Amino acid sequence: MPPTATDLTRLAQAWVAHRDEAAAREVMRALHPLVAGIARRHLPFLDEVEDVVQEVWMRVFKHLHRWQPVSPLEAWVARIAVNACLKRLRTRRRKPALLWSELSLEQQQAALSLQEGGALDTSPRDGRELLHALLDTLSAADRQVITLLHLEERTLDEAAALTGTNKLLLKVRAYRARARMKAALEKLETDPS
Amino acid sequence: MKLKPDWLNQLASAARKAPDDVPEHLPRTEARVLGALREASISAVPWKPLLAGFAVCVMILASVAFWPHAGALPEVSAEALADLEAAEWEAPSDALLADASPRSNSDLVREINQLLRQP
Repeated sequence: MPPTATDLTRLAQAWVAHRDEAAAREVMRALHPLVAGIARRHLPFLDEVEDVVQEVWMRVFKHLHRWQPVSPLEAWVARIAVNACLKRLRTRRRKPALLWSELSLEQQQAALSLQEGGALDTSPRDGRELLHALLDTLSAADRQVITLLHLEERTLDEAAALTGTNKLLLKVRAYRARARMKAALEKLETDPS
Repeated sequence: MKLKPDWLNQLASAARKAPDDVPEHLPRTEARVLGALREASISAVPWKPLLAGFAVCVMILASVAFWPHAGALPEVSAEALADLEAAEWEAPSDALLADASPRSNSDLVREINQLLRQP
């Protein structure tokens, strides 16, 4: 049975009070799916996920004394995870454009099916790869907004709370990011294969 | 080209359905994070200032113990010792002791001034 919010608060306080490692383990086990899921959805490379997850947990336990139990521990940890992913994404260079030749045959087929106004005709895995290829053409902040709103299906309020940005700015950023992705997808047509 | 308005949601939906390829790394993560936190708590002890303070104490103690003349009394020559032994100390006379009655400060000052005026 997973620990409740009250249990998590008690465990967090045990870590803060006397560095109880058993309590830290329980917190990690309970919230690991949340942290790993955020890292997996935000970061394109699998090998980065584990590093970022470790980085997130280090930050969580180093700064746990600053957490106020008035807000849920999950939300606080999720915010740290989102920020760690954004920091990692900022170290990557944005691709100036998506090239047709960079896509696998399945991804090309998926792109074509979308361009023809049909339903996405590919495996979920190839769909995900195509989405990440399109996201690679965005800046770190734009990519984060699209991931939060579309991939994680969070509301604007939740995304604003997680990123510490106001809703209007997020809305504008999401609109522009979607337009850029759309342009990148449309441009694939003119790219000779 | 006619992209459907929901083209992004179609991609996002496929991505959500895609199997998670991330290998399970929780035990390794736990071990690494807790190990790093242990190291961090050890390194949080201010070893450098403590060691510096200890070194200063050792240096002070060493300088006191090994200083060439530290703690040693000046040597007294044999002649001086002989003179000291030969010296006869005049015992205070009875009159002087009898005169050692309590006096006020002003009396003492007056007597001292008289003595100073004597040639």
